[in-house]
Amino acid sequence: MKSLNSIYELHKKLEDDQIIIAYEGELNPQITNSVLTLTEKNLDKKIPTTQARRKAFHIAVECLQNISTHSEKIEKYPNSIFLIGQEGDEFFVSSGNVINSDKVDSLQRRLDQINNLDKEGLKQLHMQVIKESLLKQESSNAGLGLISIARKSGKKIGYQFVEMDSENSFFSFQASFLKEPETV
Amino acid sequence: MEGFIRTGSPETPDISLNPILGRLEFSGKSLPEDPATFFKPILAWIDEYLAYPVSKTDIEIKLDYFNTATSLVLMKVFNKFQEKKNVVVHWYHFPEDEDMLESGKEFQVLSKLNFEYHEFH
Repeated sequence: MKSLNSIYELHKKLEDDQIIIAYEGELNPQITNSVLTLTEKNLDKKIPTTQARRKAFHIAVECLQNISTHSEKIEKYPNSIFLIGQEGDEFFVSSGNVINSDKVDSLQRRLDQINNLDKEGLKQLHMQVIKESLLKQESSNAGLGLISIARKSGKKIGYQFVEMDSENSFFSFQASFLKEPETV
Repeated sequence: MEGFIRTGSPETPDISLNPILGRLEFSGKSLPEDPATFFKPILAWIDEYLAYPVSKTDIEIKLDYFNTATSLVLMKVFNKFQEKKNVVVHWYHFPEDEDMLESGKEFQVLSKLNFEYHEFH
């Protein structure tokens, strides 16, 4: 049996880290909707400003839907993790999921491309991707979610890949944003 | 031609398409993972409407939130009205929601339609 102490420790750790919501498990469209409903309720309770709430929710939607739409099911590792929390003057939305290692390069290139753009560059890329997706009539939105996350966040997207076995890698993702928007 | 009314859900918007008034209204939230399926009958309705549109069409976008997947479908809706006469997109946003306002301006650039901006009260 698992030590009962570990329950308290996990709870305390989540409290200390000021976690707003944490989910560990499978992410299919149905579960994603439930997690989003719960996320919205928790954000309403725990984030006081409307603008920050909107941002957190927007990033959460794109982050969760990226996982449930784009990641093909890997039988061996069906579970993903999703968290929203706060640290210092920032809120953060984090996720982790397992992807095929052969996708790492293209995903990394896309993330680097996004991270190298400034506000205006991201806006242009966003519009360009919308135009291209419509021309190609493709249903996949080719990174539109990631671009949108970067635009909402206003910061570099944090990411990491950890090799789990010969075929699979763990993709950790984090987008943060300031609790109080910078006054220009 | 008949109107089209659909009540929203936590993931999908309220839709009201009125062919007599030429008024197409989308309100609430739109965050389905697969908006293409949800919007398919709406795009079909618009095709039918455009065969015999009334003299002026008002597209009312009163969404307080939509995901990026929905933004592609919205673009498809707008594109159907390109080069049509007397079409106005009424783009609503909350006063403090700068991102939603900016998003409207981007759709305006992309679609080249006539946009009017309104604040929710």
